[in-house]
Amino acid sequence: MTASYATGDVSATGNFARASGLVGWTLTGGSRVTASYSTGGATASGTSSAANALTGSGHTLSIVTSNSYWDTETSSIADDADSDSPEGDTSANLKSPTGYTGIYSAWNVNVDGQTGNDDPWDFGTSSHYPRLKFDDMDLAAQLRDYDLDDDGLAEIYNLDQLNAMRWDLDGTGAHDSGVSAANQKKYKTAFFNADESLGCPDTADAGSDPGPCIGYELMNDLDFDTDGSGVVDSSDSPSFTNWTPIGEFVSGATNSGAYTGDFDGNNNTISNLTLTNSDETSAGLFGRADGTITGVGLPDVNITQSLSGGTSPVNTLLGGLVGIVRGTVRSSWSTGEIASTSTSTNFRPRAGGLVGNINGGTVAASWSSVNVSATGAQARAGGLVGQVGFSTNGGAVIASYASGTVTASGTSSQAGGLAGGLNGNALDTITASYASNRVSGATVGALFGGSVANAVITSSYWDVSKSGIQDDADSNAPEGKTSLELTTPTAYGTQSTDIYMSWNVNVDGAAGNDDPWDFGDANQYPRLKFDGMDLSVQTIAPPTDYDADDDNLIDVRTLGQLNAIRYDLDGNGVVAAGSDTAAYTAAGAYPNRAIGMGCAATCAGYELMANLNFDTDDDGDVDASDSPSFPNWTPIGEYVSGAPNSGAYTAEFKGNNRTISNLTVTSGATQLYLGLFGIVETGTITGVGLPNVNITHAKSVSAIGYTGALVGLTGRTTIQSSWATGSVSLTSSASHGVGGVVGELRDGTIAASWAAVDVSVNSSGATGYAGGLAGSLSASSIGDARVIASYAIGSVSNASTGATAVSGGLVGSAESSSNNWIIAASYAAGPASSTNGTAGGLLGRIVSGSSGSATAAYWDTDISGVADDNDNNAPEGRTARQLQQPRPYSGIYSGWNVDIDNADTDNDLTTGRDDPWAFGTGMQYPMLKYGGMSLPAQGGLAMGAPNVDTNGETPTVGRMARVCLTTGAVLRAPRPGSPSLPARWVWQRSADLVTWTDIAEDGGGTYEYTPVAADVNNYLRACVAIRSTDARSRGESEMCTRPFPAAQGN
Amino acid sequence: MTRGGGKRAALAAILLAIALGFGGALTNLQPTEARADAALGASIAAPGASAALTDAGLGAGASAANAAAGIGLGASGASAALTDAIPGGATPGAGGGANVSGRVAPGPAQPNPLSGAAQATVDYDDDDDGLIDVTTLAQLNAIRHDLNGNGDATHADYVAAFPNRITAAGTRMGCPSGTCAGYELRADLDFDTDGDGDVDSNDSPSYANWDPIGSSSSKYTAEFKGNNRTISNLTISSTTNAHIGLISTLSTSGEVSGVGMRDANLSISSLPNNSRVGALVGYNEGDVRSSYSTGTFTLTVAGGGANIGGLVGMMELGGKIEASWSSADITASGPSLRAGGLVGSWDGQPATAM
Repeated sequence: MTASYATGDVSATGNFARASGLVGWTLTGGSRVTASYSTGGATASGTSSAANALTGSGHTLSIVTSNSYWDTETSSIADDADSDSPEGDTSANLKSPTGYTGIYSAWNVNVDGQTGNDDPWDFGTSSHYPRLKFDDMDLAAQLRDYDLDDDGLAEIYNLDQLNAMRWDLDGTGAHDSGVSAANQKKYKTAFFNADESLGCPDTADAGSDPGPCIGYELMNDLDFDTDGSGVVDSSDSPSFTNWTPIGEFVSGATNSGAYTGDFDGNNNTISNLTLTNSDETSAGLFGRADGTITGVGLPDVNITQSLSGGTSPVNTLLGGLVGIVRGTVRSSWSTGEIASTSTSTNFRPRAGGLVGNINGGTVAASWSSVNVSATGAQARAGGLVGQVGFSTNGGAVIASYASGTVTASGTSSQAGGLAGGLNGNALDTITASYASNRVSGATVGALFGGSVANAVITSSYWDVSKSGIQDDADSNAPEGKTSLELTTPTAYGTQSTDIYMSWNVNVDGAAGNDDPWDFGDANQYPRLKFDGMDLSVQTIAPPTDYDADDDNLIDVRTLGQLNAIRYDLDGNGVVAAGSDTAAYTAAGAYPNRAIGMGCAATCAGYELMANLNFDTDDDGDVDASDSPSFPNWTPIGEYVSGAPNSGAYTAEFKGNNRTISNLTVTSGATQLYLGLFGIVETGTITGVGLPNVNITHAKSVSAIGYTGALVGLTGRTTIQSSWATGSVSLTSSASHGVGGVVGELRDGTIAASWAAVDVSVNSSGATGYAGGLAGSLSASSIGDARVIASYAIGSVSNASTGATAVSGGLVGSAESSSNNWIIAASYAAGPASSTNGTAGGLLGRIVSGSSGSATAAYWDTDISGVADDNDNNAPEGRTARQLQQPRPYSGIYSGWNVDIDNADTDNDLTTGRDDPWAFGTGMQYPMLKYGGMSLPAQGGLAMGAPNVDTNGETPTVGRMARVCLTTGAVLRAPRPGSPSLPARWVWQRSADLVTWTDIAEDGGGTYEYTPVAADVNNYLRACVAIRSTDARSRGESEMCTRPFPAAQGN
Repeated sequence: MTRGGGKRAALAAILLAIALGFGGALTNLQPTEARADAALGASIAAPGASAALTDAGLGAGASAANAAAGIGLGASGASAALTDAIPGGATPGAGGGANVSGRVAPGPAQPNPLSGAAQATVDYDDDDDGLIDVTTLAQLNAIRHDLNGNGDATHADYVAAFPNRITAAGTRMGCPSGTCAGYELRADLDFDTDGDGDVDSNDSPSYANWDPIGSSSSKYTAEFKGNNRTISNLTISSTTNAHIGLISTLSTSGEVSGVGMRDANLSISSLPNNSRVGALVGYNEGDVRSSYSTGTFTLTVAGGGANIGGLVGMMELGGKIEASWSSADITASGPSLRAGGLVGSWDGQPATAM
């Protein structure tokens, strides 16, 4: 026998009976036992019987043992019968070596008969007997002592053992009486091969005898998501998808059912506790705990209850750690989500982040950041504790805090930042604690919900900056502090003005204060350090001020925030009832917001504080690979059938001359009104640039719709200093209006705005409007509909088949039922066409009977392809040269210095003039400079014509250079700024602006092209082609100057 | 503006650079424009930085894909990796390369009504180590009909336990070279099949009173390899077999390793005289290695002479035991009985002097 051991107790009864710890008896000589041991007791009774510690022997020479031992204490055998070698030793001496040293120095033996020793033993710590590891033998199965540290707490290493505690509610280390045979088996399997009482010493007599344990302790972190999949489901092993609480409240039997042992987490964690029980009156990791629970961290609890029915009213007590505490919870914490919803008055949800109810117990040095909600009649929701006290039993909260969001709703419901409610008993105490969270509900308290009555609240605070609650109802009350006041102190302090002066309290009940708090630096909230608690997991962020400049406009710095505006259409920073608070406060939007969003007064809208780009990865596509991904933008503000204004955005949106690039809407969007905004009513939009809008949609609907890059439909709204480039293309089975910036403008103003958007519409409904800037203007009794100091240079096309299919270079259709439509100090310079209807260079049509006028408003007759307007009332066309040559506010532009902002509120364009235009050189169209608008955005080559050298004139950087040419003139493209730039110019010709044909390349290094006869009456353009070596864009890309008709003669 | 290629933003920046490089261009611009240009110029760096990130992302993705493919190849090409992954039923199909052509995984074990007709057969030595795979209690029980472990048995219980087995010499049971050399555990087994804490007639299959494999005269002569798997709740309450355990008698050529006998329950009120009782082996002439037992023995022998050990009842004729342990508690009564925590008695001539 080699490297073997036995630990069982052996009892033999009978004449000549023999009992031994390892080998009972040997018959003849020569047996060998090497490197082995036994610990079991051996007893024998009967005539001539004998009991031996390690081996029994027929005679002294029959067995040879070497380096083999027995435990003199556990066997109670001090020596064996023969004088031969085996030696007994104490338990401690047998456990003490942690390697092949001392008495085990010869134990690395050859087990398998092959060459070499086999290192068969694992010695563990000095608390372990040697165990066999040869050939991957199961070490855990050999552990018999589950209280290696002899502290009376049985040691838990895995979820099965945690779960088995429910069969030993008194924590004695043996399954309770009354436990079914099947559960007895599970208990024994969880603690396989355990010694009696799991190896706990008898703490009553402080001896080493087996004695009842006093509870359990956690030896390592546990995670219910065993496979790390992110969800607790049936694929986990073991799988606990719906945890049954350990211990429970038994109605009418107040002293039965509870877990009464202690539980020490040793600051280990149990992650992803998941519980959806609906029939537990007390639930959590523990249902009811009467002992002492310490050092347990519960990250990411996920507890949801849906309660209904019932026969008589009961309180349903729910906490992450314990439903009902009648003992003590200390140095424990939880994060995650808890939600309890009752549809029956028979179940009153009482939910707390850590504890449901303190019923004659204490919660000390503990915290929770669980988001807690309780819904139902008499619901209580508290960040840390659902309800403090019950009946004549009080409850104490000492040196603790809560930081999760708390919500309660229902008849007579209460929400409290730290505790949902206080019983009001004089034994209810809250001491040296705080809440830093947002609390909402019918009856709300920043620290505790409801009345304080006789409870004693001492040196406890709440965070006014997060809760928004300035005071509570009770004059006895604790004080609210701003987040700054709560975070600034770095020590308890000694002055009466130091809010934490009284916070060095006694947490554990043993003599002396325990210095439980860590105050960090001046930017940190107090954290708990008592008993080695982990500071790193305690992360409370001060609330974020989302109106840093205090102009009452909420800052938009990310696409997620832009997207979140839809949940706050009135722009006051408060999510309207029925909207999605979770989405509004999600990461990437507006999490952890200060009360009132940080606005100085009431928020009144949003403002762009950064340029945004929907093509987040800059790969040229707005698609699923972007993060966040908005490949098909849902417009902010939505048409609501029957109440078209109820879904509208009604606040200010201030762009600060920043841009939102690559807005994309594709087929599939279900809204009737499309754009960055769908519908805006009584709003104001200023300073927003939308480069490279891409809206392409085919609708199959029966209702009329409107689409614009910025807004589909506005009512009583002002748009200023905003612009868009790109394309908007709509096909609809119903009437539809499309504009470069706005689809339809009703009773409002668009001023100092421009569009270089290619607009097209194909409506099979009654009407199809297309306008370079606005699809239609509509004035009613409410007010005028005005376009002031604006321009459009995109192409406008209309393939609609209905009765009214009109295109206008600037505005498609104008009408007024009352008041006036007005176009003033504006121009259009883009091709306008309507396949089945009419097209106007500036305005497509004026609806019969409408009152309005166009004043100092022009269109480019050269580039529009329209020689005149279809309306007698119409403005006049001008040639490109006529439009380009006037100097500032002279000639045709003499009336163009107008009042944009109407700061004087007189609605008179000629008073309070704002000098909105920049006229550039004599070869440039006017551009808008109002309010610091970007001129490069309007004059960049991306939209301009190539530099043109006609008849020897000096090349000039220009935009929209509409130059009348004859063959023999020279066109010149810009030279690359860098000689190494891998670019070339390609000249192209088109008759229809759709199909382009290469006609020359690069001009032989001169970047020039001389038109030929074939170019006459065609369009020409120059494209720069980039040969890229960038791996992402292999091959060539092109960008073209704007086309211009060639060779029409001066 | 052409929309091809999708590098619009970058191109705009490049074009702007072209414009800036053009002589005299700036002279006509307002100061405010120049500042704005500078700002746009600064943004040129952004696409490049983004490209690096994108490329890195693609690289990582490709690596992950390759790694996944590697795993897939391993699964189909290296059956050894799956040795311990075989589930309870005989499912040789999961082994991939080890599966002999023409054999497929069976459905639930059931008699073949078309006996004699062409029938898919099962490889019961999936890993080709010459040891027949045991994954069910019925198979464990059937070993008694093949004590020399060569797989050549015709008892109805054996046939039922190993359905669609290969009987032809040369490929019998799927063993290589046609010669099996014993059995091996490929699953943990529990006699308490319904988990109710009792081994009784409610279990299916029910072995409420285990009959040891073999006898004092019919020894198990082959290998039984446990692969560190366990057999739980072995229960014996009465027997006439004098050598009592999971296995009655292990011969000099027999070998047992890596078997964990968990919670063995031997409660026998009338042991045969001179019986030998152990949870794993009653009488060991061979080699027991890296095995263990836990449980409770309560035994009474009227005539006396019983030899009772936690793991092995008695060892003789050079029997060996290595790297093994027991925590079974033994309570025995009767004249001249010998009880030991691991081994009851030993008439051992040492096989190897140490």
